[in-house]
Amino acid sequence: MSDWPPHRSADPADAGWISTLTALNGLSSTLPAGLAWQGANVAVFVPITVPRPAYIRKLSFGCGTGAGGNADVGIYDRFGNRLISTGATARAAGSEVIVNVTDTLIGVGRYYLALSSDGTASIVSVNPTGSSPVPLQKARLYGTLQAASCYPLPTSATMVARTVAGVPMIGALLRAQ
Amino acid sequence: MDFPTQRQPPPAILTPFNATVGNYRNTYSTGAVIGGLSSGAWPVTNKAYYYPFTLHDWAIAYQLLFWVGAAVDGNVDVGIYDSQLNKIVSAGSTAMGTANTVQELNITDTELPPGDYFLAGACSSSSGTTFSSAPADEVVQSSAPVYEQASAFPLPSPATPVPCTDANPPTVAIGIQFVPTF
Repeated sequence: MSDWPPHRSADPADAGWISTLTALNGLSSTLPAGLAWQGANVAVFVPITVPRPAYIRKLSFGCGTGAGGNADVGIYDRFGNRLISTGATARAAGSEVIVNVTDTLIGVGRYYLALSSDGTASIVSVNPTGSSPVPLQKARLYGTLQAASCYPLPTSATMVARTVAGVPMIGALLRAQ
Repeated sequence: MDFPTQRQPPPAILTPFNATVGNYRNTYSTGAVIGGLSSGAWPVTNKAYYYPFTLHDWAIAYQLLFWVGAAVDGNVDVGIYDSQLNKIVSAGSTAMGTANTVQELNITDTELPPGDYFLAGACSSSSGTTFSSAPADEVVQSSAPVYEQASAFPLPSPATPVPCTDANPPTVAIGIQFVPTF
């Protein structure tokens, strides 16, 4: 056994919030902003990696200007099974929405942060730069996926290849206990 | 040791821009990211480039990826090598795909144990293009060395790369798809 403690990488279970912005570091040189949602009832899934077991405590998303509309935010395992979600949540124009969820323990692995909306009211997202089809290729290279008819977020989802480039900013508060 | 080694799954899509080398997250070209890449010619006909990465958990490689640039010419090959430079799996010589689009190169689903590997890419034509980043060699080679091998198309086994000697070593947008759907 080594005399030195093993190196530990940055740990969401200690640090707290993990977001799609963290997971997509370098996707785009432009900042996230309120963008029209990609389509009513379309869900977008963004992969994250969880290196240590942690409890999901809160989920969040941001809203651009313009009233109305609802969103549902959740976490899925890599098989497309929903672990926890906020349920239908009203948008708050020009503001963040942070929702307490039932504390849900997740283990080490790859998961997907997911967001779906019942309309096209703006959601804070990143639209990768470039001329078509480059932005879509960037979104795909980060492993983002999508699914239709997913509002509210279903118990299980069949994720398919992206056809639209935008990536929503979704946050999750993780705690070790 | 009483406690198991901490696992960490690879990203859904592993590229030289988000790979982990050793225990440390590595970003080739010191800050180059997917969002900032641009289309450029493959530097040398039949030259292969190799990018080391580490897996900290078992993973299945479903497909290999090559981001075609603005101009299409020649054939491409993408592959995975073990730390001894033996080729584990590769796409083989494949006609370069559609411009400005990530080309999906299907392979036999290959399970990879934790360990050190190389991701390699090669092109048969310097008129073919890919998305890449290429800062100065003192920037790249001092942070995450890129390796090269001339006359290496299709990708050979074993490989015999050497540290890249280009003044601007390219980091190209090739990748491994560790999820079933891209």
